[in-house]
Amino acid sequence: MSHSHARNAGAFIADEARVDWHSAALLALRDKRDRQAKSIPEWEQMRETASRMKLHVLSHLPELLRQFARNCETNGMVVHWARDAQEHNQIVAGILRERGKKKLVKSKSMLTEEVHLVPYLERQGIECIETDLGERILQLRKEPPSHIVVPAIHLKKEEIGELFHEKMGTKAGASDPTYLTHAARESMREDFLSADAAMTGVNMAIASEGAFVVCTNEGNADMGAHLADLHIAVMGMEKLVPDAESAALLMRMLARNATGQPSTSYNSIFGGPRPGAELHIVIVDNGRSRRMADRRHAEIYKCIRCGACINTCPVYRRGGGHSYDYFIPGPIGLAIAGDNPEANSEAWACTLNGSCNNVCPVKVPLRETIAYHREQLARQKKLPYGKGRYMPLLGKIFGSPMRLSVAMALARLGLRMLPRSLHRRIGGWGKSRDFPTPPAQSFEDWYRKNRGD
Amino acid sequence: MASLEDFFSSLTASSIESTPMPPMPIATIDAPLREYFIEVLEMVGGVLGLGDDLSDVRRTASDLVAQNLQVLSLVEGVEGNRDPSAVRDPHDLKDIDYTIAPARLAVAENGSVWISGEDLVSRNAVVICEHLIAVVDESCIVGTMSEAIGRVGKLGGGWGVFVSGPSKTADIEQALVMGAHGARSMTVYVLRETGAG
Repeated sequence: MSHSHARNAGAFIADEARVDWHSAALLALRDKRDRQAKSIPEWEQMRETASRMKLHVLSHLPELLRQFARNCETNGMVVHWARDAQEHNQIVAGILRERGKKKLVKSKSMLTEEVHLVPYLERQGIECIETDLGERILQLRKEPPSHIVVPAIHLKKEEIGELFHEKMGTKAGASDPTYLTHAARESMREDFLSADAAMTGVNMAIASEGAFVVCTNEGNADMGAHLADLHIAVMGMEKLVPDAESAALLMRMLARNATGQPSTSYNSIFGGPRPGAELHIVIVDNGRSRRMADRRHAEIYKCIRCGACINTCPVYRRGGGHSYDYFIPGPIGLAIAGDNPEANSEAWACTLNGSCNNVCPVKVPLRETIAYHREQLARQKKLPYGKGRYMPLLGKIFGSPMRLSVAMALARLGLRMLPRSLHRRIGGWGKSRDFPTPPAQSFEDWYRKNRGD
Repeated sequence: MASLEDFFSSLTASSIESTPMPPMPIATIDAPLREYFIEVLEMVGGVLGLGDDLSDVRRTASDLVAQNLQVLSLVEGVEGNRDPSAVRDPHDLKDIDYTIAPARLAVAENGSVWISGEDLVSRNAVVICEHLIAVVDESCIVGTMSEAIGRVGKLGGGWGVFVSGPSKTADIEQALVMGAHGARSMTVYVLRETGAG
């Protein structure tokens, strides 16, 4: 994949009808979210509380982590600590290997995408089955998710029908979502029953209880975790909440903000293994402590992964999830990893419109964080799209009233005299837009004539 | 492998100013809870059981048994045709058509019921069945999740789940489909207090 967001998005927007369909599907989620939010009178108070609760967690992380781990151990779980992706994968593989496990059923976890767990385990001969329907579709297509909550939102049912025909033997040409979903249910039921280990993510880790919440609509986390005699739960360390009331607050907000449902179908709270089974929990840093050490970057870890910022983002809706370099697309992905100089156009895949800020249930300052990354990259002289050349020039023009008025006079003349075909070449901006017809005079001239003394 | 000390060595100083824990907003529902619960239950794809007495649940169970379906009842006073005490392994439940389970709470704001693992012979009894029937006392309906969490008791050591409607997915073109991996339907009987079980 190219490291230029604009180039990647270009491939997606080539199919205009698909872009419209994609955008409408996401806006529908945004609408449903708005209806849920408006149905709760204390919604804004909940956002403010959730934000402060997460700030409390982030500012007391070591003691809360210790408390969580201690309570989990009291409850019969085994706690593991991983500083990075490699340690995480080694820990998981080690647990499975020591017990001779060969087949792992997984529910959705963004963390396992982050650390590339599945390819790692497969190289060690451990079969991994993604059981969330969307994730399973992508696993069969050998493709990354394009959204953190609705991972296959970029695909048409006909494409999924074809895939299932090839991989699961569904009827040729069949694309009815109910038929395809139930075919996947049958196929994965066998996987659940034959798996010898299960993995889930963690939505909220409750420090005071030593328990954690896993939220799914499909029931796949519970199907896997209660059948196998080994359950491994993996979590980024920011998933912590102090107490059960805080978890309840987030349970009230998560599904409402994600998909516009009043709740996910299952809010499953694990406080220990069942008799005769093992429950392991792996707590991961993998760059989190480094980012948290920078105050202007730290608040991204308030995020509860609802995906609402992605649904509302006009750039995401029209550019698609695969246009981003980081595995988490949209505003939250840019806010987390937009400082990566390897993918330094990412921070510009944003219009700074701030719609994301307005829907975030925990008030992550998304726009401000993305703007901060731009600032930092400019300081490091790593501006993309030739901005390093023309931005200083623009700065000089805007810095002087005389230079600005000369430049604007030239621009008015140019837009009137030069052919449209030439406009299109200006900085890529005019590629699919026309410049407005320029006025005959500047605002300053107009003002002097009409309002001046 | 990282030791606890290795892990915590990079966590010494937080850049975020020490923030006190905020008070939780008081969240309740100012409406008749039974009606509210039923409305949301139906919105999330659940079904209200017909009747409000345990004898109605008993009748449903015996109807299902008469249809030769595999019925596991974990509600006292309701008979299925599978012996709960014979369950040795969660895999034994793979052919269950109906699980009838007691719910300790119902939550009006999201149409969910709280089912505790302590009331099940196997934790997966609520998901592996084709259909789930939950039975809850009307007096156990609360308004919001904030109220519910205060009443579930200790979470550590056990397991429990808030179930809001059937298992569902919309991963194929956002079309809502019931019966992804868990129960294809959820029916809730809300029992009125009659003084006798």
